[in-house]
Amino acid sequence: MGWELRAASGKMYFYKATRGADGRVVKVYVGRGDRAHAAAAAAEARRNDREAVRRSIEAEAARTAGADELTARVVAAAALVAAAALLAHGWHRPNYGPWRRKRT
Amino acid sequence: MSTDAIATPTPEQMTELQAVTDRARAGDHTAVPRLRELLALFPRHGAYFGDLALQAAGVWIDLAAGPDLHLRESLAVKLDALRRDLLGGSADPVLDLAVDRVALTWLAANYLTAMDGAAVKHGESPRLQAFRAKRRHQAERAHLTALAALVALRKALAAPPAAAPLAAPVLTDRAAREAVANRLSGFFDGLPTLARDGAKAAASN
Repeated sequence: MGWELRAASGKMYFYKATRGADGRVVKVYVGRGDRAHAAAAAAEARRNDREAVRRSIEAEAARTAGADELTARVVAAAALVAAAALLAHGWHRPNYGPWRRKRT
Repeated sequence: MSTDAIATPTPEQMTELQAVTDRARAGDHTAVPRLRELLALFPRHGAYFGDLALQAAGVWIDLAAGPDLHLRESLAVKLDALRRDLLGGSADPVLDLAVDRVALTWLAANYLTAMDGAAVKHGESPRLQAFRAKRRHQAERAHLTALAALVALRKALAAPPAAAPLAAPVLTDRAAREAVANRLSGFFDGLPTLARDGAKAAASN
């Protein structure tokens, strides 16, 4: 999607990229008049929106990164020690299901 | 508590615990004695993980409360009460760590639920809402897993550990196999069979 230079005329034309029913991306000619400028401005606005959302998701992830990292360490250690204690007490966990006491 | 008293587990110790746990999980009965030895060492590391959990809880409370000191205090009190209830007076360091795990995942799940609710309320973009909803689901799943582990652990620790090897005895000869009593045989002895009932019914007619 964007302005493309056509060598034959030496002018810039705007092409819009759309995805067809078969899933393939096709370029659709829009032109170089007012309609093309409006389509280019709309495409730019959509790009900016996507970028803003991406930045806010990154900021959200960064805000909780410290807590997530500490929590993950505690959870990993607790899971390991709990599994070790349960196995030592004769419990098992078949097929990743709930922990069960082994039949004696 | 001074930090000098806290024994930080070395990566080698954690790696060995992981390896021995994996072996025991895979059914290797020879791993169990070493597993018990390693667990006996664990109380020395309990304080280290307790401090780590305290730090993590502090960061979650900071995130949730921000500058609101009342909310910060309320969350700290609630977390203490939750830990006390779940611990039930036990001094077992393994259970203590499992309770820390539940408390932390509870904090994370509640924080992320609040953030998810705020995203919907403020009409944020669907992608951001989807991201927050996904994180909320992950946190809730982690909390449920932590609770399940705690419940199993409480049951296991309440019962005495299995003293004998975990493997069932292998009965090699036929006589030994036949000597094993059917555990349900006594139960059926006292019950009238269908055939006997049918014969009685026929005789009465």
